[in-house]
Order: sequence, then C-alpha cells, then structure tokens
Amino acid sequence: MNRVTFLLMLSSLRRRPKTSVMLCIIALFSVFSVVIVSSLTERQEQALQKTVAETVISCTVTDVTGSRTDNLDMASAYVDMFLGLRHERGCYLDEYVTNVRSRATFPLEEPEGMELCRILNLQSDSRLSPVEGCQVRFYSGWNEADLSKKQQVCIVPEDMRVEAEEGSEFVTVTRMGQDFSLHLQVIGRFSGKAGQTIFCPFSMEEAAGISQSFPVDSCSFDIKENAALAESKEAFWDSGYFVAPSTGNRPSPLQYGIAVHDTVYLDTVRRFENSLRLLQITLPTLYFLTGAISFFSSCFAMRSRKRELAVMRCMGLRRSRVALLIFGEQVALAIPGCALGLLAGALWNGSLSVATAASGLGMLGVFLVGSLFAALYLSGRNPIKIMKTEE
Amino acid sequence: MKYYVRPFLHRRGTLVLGVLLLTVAVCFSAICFSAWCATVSQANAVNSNYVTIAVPAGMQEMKDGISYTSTEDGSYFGSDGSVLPSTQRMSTLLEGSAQVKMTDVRCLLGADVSGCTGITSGTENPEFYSMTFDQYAYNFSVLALRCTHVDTAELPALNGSAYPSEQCYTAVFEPIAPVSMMEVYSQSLDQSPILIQDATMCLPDGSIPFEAGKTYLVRGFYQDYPMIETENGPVPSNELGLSYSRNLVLPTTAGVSVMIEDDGSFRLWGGRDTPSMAVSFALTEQNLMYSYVPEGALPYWTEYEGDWSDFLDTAEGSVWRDEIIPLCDRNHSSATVILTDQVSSLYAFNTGDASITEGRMFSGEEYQGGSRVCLVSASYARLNGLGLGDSIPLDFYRCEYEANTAAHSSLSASVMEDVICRYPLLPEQRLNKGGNYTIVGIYSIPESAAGIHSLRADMIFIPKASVPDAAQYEDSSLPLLNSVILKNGCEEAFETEMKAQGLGGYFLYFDQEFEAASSSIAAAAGNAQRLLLLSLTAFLLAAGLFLLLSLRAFGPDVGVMRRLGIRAKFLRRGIWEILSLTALVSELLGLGLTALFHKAAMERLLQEAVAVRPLVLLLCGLAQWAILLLLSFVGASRTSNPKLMSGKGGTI
Repeated sequence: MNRVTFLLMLSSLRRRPKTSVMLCIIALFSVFSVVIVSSLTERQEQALQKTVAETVISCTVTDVTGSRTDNLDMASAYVDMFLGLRHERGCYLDEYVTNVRSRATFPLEEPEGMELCRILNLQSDSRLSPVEGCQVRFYSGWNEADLSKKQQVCIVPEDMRVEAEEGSEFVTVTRMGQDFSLHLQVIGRFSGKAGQTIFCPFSMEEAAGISQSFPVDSCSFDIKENAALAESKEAFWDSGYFVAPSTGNRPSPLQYGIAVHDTVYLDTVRRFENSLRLLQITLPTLYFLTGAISFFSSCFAMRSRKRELAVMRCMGLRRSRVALLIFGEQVALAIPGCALGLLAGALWNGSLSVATAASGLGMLGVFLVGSLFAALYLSGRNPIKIMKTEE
Repeated sequence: MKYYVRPFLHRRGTLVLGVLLLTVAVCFSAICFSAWCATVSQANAVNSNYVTIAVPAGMQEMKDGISYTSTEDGSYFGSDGSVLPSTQRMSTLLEGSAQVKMTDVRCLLGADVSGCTGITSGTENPEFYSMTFDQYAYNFSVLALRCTHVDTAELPALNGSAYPSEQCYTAVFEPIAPVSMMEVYSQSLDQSPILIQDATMCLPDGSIPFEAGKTYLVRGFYQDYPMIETENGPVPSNELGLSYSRNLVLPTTAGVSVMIEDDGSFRLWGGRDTPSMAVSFALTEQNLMYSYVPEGALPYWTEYEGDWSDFLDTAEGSVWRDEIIPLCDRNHSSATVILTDQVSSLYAFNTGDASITEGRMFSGEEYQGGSRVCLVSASYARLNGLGLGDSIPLDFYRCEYEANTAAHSSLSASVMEDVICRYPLLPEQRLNKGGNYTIVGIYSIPESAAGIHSLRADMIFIPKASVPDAAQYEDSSLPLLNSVILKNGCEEAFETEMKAQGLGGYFLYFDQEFEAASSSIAAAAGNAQRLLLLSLTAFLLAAGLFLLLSLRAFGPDVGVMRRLGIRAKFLRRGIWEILSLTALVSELLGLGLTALFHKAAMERLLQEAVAVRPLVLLLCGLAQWAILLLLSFVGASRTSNPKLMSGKGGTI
C-alpha cells in the first residue's frame, strides 16, 4: 500500500466517522463474543476436570450375584491384590484402587464370647462409625495408620479388662479351633455397640515373618483415577477374579463381584460433557455469523461510496488497488475493535488465557476474511454501470 | 404496502443480505437460548441427582456428672450446654430450618407377595441364620407333632418379689410333618425333637394343654438352629457349644403389664385382642401368672387322632385348613415394604453399604406420580427368579414391627446389635391396598449387617405416593425410617443453625460427593447466563443493522412521497408492515435453521436432554419477533417523518 492509498483510506475513515465507529463496534463485539464463549468453554472444562479429580468413586466387593456385600468368605489374597502385595505373582490391582477397606472376623475361644476382627482402617467396620455411636481413642504414639501394618496390636472395648505389662496393656486371644494364642498390645479403646469385638490390623502376622491367608468378610475401596474409570473397570474384569455383579451370574467360589458406585458420577459427567459440547458447537456458529456480519457490514459501509470507488476505477486505479483500499480500511477498523474486544473480554472474565486470546484473534481473522470478500465483491463491480445508476 | 415493496425489491441484494443476517442472528440467539434452557435443566438435573443427608451421630445419651433439666416437649438440657432433643423439638427445629429441603419420613408395611417366597436369614447360607431376623413372620409355622413328655416348672419373677412368678412347662415333641412351614426350616425338621420350652400358654383354667403320647397340630414361631459346615460334614451348632435349640415358641406372658397396688398386691392387664393372635392373662390360685387363648380366638393347638391331613378335612380341622394354614402361608410369602420419597437418602445408600447393582433408582416423576415401581434385593430377586421389568403383586398389611437386638451371626452369638423385626401379617391388618409393582432396580446389601440404619434383604422399596393415604403410616421414631435431606451445599449453614440450638456436632453429613460436582454446577449455571446475555446482544446488534440498512433503503422514496403529500402515518404503517413481514420471514427461516441444526448436529453429538424443545423454540421466536416489531415500529416512525427542509429527507 503506497502513501497515497494510505492517506486516501484515512481521509475516508475520517469523513464517515459513524460508519467507521459502527464497523469498529462490530469487530469489537465479534471478538468479545468469541472471547466470552471461549472462556465459558474453558471454565466449564476446568470445572469438569475438578469434578472428575475430586469425586470419590467407591466400590464394594460382592458375591458374583450381588446378593451380599459381607459374609463373602473371600480369601485374603484377593484383598492383597488391591493392596498390591501380590506383584510377584502378577496379580495386582493397586494401580487402579486406593483407600482399601476390609474386614475379617474370627470367633475366639479366649476371651470367651468375643470375636477378633482384622481391619485395614476404622472405615472397614461400620460398627466403628460415629453414626452407630462409636468413638475410638488411640493411646499416645499410636494412630489409625497402625491398623494397616503387620504388628500384633489391637484396639479393645472401653470396659475390657486387659493385662498390664511394663507400662503397656496386652490381651491374649485364642481363635476357635487353633492351638496357639496371640499376645496383642492394646493401642486404643473404643466405645459403642461392637462391645464384644477386638480389632487388630488386617495384615497382622500371627507368627513373625509368616503371613497367613484367611477368609475375608467384606471389602471395599475407592477408584484411584476417575479419569481412568473405564480402564479400571476393564482391569477388574480382565483379572478373571471379578465380574460385574448380576443376579444372572452363576455362583462361583473363585469369582466375586465389584459394585462400582459410579451412577451419579457418570450421569454428572455426561451432563456436563453435553453442556461443554453445546458451548463448543456455539463457537463455530459464532464464527459463521461474524463472517456474514463482516461481509454484510463492509458492503453496507461502502454502499454510499460506490460512486467514489467507480470514479477511482475510471481514473485508472486497478481493481486490486481498490480492493486493497477497502480491505485496508476494514483492517484499520478491525484491529482496534479486536483489541478493545479482547480488553472487554478480559475485564468481563477477570483474566484472559492464551487459548481465549487465540480464539479472539481467530475471530479477527474470520472478520477480515468477510471483509476481504466484501472488498473483492465491491471492487469487482462494473464502474460504468454504477455511474449510470441514479441515487 | 405495494408502494413499499418496490424500493425493497429494487435493492434485492440488500434485502437478501439483510434477511440472511437476521436469519443467522435469529438462529444464533435461538441456539443460545436453547442452550441456556438446556444447561439450566442439566444443572438442575445434576443437582437433583445428589442428595445431602444429615444423620444424627449415634444414640445420644445422658452423660454422668451432668445435671439435666427437662422441658415440656420432652427434651433435656444438660448443665454442660448439651441438648437431648425430643422428637417433637427436633421436628420443630427441622421445619424451621431454611437449609432443610425435606424430611423423608418413611413407612414400613408388610406385604403378601403371592407367588414369591419370603427370604429368611439362612436362605443363602444356613450358617448365617438369625433367629431375630426370621421372627415373627417367616418362622410362623404349623406343625403336626407327637408329644413325648411334659415337664412343669416355675419361672421366677424377673423384676423382684412384687412381680408375679410365671407358671410354665416344657413340652417335648417328636415332629410328624411340617404342615405349613418355610422350606428352609423343614429340610432339617426330623433331625431332633422340638421343644415348646418354658411356655406359659395354658388352657383357660390354667392346666397344661399337652399330654405325652397324643398328637397335636400346633402353630407358633419356629426357632431353628443352624448346621455348621465342618471338615466332618454338617454339625448342628448346639453341638459346638452354642446356646441354640429347636423350639416352637407360643405367645408368652411377655408384654403383659403389672400394676403394683399399695398393699403389695398386683393387677395384670395387656395381651392381644386381635382374633388371630389373641392372648389373655390370668393368675393361678398360687398367684402364678399364665396366658391362655380367649374364647372366639384362633387356637394355637388342637389335638387330633390319625392322619393330620384327614383331620384337616373334618369340621374341627376346618379352622386350621381355612384360616390358620393360609395365615401361615401368607407370612411365608411376605416381604417388608418401605414406602419412601427418596431411596437415596437412606444412610446405607450413602455409605456404600447398599448400592444398586442392576437397573436404577426411582425417578423424580415416579416419586411424585406414585408410579408402581419397586426395588428389590439381589437375594430376593435370585430366590424368586425375578429380574428387571418383572412385576410382583404387593398386598399391603399394616403389621407391627420393632427394633430388636439380635446376634448378628450364629458364630458370634454374643455380638448383639439392633435389627428391625417385622411381626406377622394378620388378616385384620390388611389394608386392601396394593397392586402389581414393576422391578426397576436390584440392590445389594450386607447379608447380616446390623445397626440402627441397616437394611434387610426382604425389604422392597416403593414410592410413598404409590400407596393412597400413605402419610398415616409414617413412622418418625426409627432412624431407618427417617432422613433429613438438606439442600445441596448447605451443610455448614445447617450445622451453624443447629449449633445455635445447642446441637453442634449432633449430625453427621453425607453429600454423595456433591461438593466435587458443585464447581461444575456453578460453572454451568454461570455460563448459561453469560451465553444468554451474549446471544441477546448479538441479536439486538444484528436487528439494529438490519433495520438501519432497510430503513436507509426507504429514505429517498419516503422523501418523495412526503413531498407529494402522503401523510407520515400512512408511510409509517406501510414501512412497518413490510419490515414486519421481512422480519417474520427471517424469523421463520432462523427458527427452521435452528431446528435443522439441532436435528442434524446436536441430537447426534449430544444427548436427548439438550436437544431443542419445540416450546422453547416457539417462545424464543415469539420474543424475538416482538422485539423486531417494536424496533421496526420505532424505525418506521423516524423514517416516515423525515426533515424535508434539511436536505436529508431524500432526493427527487
């Protein structure tokens, strides 16, 4: 663009301030719209990611038919798979699960009338829940995490008599049908309805260095990565040890069901993904609309100047120069409009991300494409015909 | 109007572009409006998916060393500031709280499910037999027995000397046949004698009704003991040293009330007056208490001779054949029905103890409309060969029930916990309400869980509104039957309110992970509003452009017409009409485009939930057209009255 053309363009813009301002406002609004829609999409995506990351999806092990979630009589090796203790055998699911809760109960010969309950944490047994009126207090230096270790410790009912040895408390337990006793150190007490139960660590070794398999009553856990929920489920089913519980399944002593409590989560995610797609669909519509508006408004702005353009053509100005002149005017108006649009969008949202700014610039491009088409259309009209036309 | 069509047609390009612009604007704003409606409904639907409940933390009890003062409503205020609220006070507090969405006060009814078998504790695994679970519905039985011997005894008074001792006896029987008994019990019936142990039920004169060597039809509550699978085969649990025996329990003096007079004597009252389970009480000359069947009530035993099936065909046996045996059979096919307004507000469904493994929960419409749909346990479904979509007939009874303490498994008999015990369905309790309910979901629960919130495998959940006048069966006393449902995200505000009432820490909260979803809900709602605003601005801008362009096209002709003496109001009307018509064409094209767009793209890409709704589209179109009419009118008014002397009023 030479200096003359540039000056001509500027004088045209100055001569028609209303039209110029209008075009500038259209560009501003177009960019502002796309910035808003982009930021809305971004905001929705972030919120959805937060929901996915923060939702806890719990799973409960059932029998294959889903008839019961307790009295499973499941070998503790299955729980070991969730805990990642069977890597050497290639049986592990700890990559997909976290916060495993499990319980195994054994009747005791000594103390008579009581039971020994192996638990991984306090959530493993609903009787230890505050809702059931239970309160657990650990002695100084001990805490709930000690229940997930292998040591011979226990928590006992508040009113239970225990043996005192060297400043610590102990209780001797003998499982029904076993000919040896365990000497468990008491690390805490609990009140509530599980009054005839002694709770000890789930993985407690009955003899040093020896881990014994035992039947487990119940087991539940949470999904580690919600984003990989489908993959996690697939891993459960592919393991061959677990199936989706259904009354139609054939009972099997080696298989168990896993009820994944993901209905609400999946519905929430599905609905928000729909909303997200809705926003994503809105964006191209906006681009299309802006392109149309740009073309139309450019034509409209130049409508009153068609004789002027025809005179230019008659005086020997090439078509491309005329098109460039028109397009240059549009660019000169669109760029400040775009800048103002980005600014307005940033003020509206409180911030402006790179992706949103890129969408805004994309919209500027679409606007200019519309203007370019308008410039080509206007510059291509027959000047003689225009000069003949009455106003 | 024809005068005004010409200038428009002279500028066909402008007209087409104008209509096109407006069409696209209408389409965009309609899509955005539809998106706003869809997003709002999505956010509401997500919100309603989550249920936040407040559950009282354990049983609140009076503490030692604290003095309590009682109030008129039955609440107790402790000197340490703690409060033990009565049901009345709690319900007033909850009603007054703005954070409470609703309280789901459920109803527990019994139902005869003809064609189905009731589920007992030992159905799945005899090892987990629980006497308390099975009584007093499933173990209600009629047996043909031969008495082998009877021992008399005296039960000492439990509550001190003022309370009367009871005259009792133990009758030992040899089983002949299970006349009416659940199959799960009858399988092992002949393995040992049956006892009517420490019974106080006598003849009206106080004499013992059984005699050695005679045969009887007896009805009562059968208590089995489980067989334990061992390495040496099944062994009765009583041989392992546990205190179980095989009994047939007759109604006893339990439940009778005693009033001690000033002179140390006592009076009795109480008993049952329902014809099928009537029991009266009396004292012997030795002041020993006993019970008897009053005149007109159904018998508990009848002596017979010969074959019991022949006896049933006699006139004397007709009461057994026509009334007592059907009564027992009905209980064997019974189930416990919970009427609820929100299944997911049950504590067990919030902790993961219970979950839907097949099918779904009830929908909002099913709750409100009282649809005949139900949820059954997987055990119940398996036992009866039921699946999703199957129908079961429920015939409701307002039976009695109570929270009882039970051993939670036979092997740990000493671990006693609360379970709900349902009493038998009696003919006089029949509600004459019910119908066929379709199974829409199957749930899984712990088999032998106990506790104040525990569910039983024989529980069938149905929408409360599906039973007429269900409110009269509501029970606000049992924790299992009550849930406080809060507005999502209002736990903190509710806790603050409760703290102000001295109930800080009284409730525990479960929100089904709503907190994690709340950011998405807030974002969706905010986005919907912004999108609506944006689309409205876009529409107004496009409409303004369209009108500006169109009205400028009229400028020269209007000037000429005005100079020729045509009145401004005629011009205004004409311009307005042509603009309205053009706007209408654009509107229809835009809405059509929106509908096509939705049909072609959105319904394929998205779910039906966000597809365009015709009514929404129509409303949006009407609103847009009204705006266009208004703007056209304003524009036409200005254009039709140009300043003819200023030189801007058009040229000739």
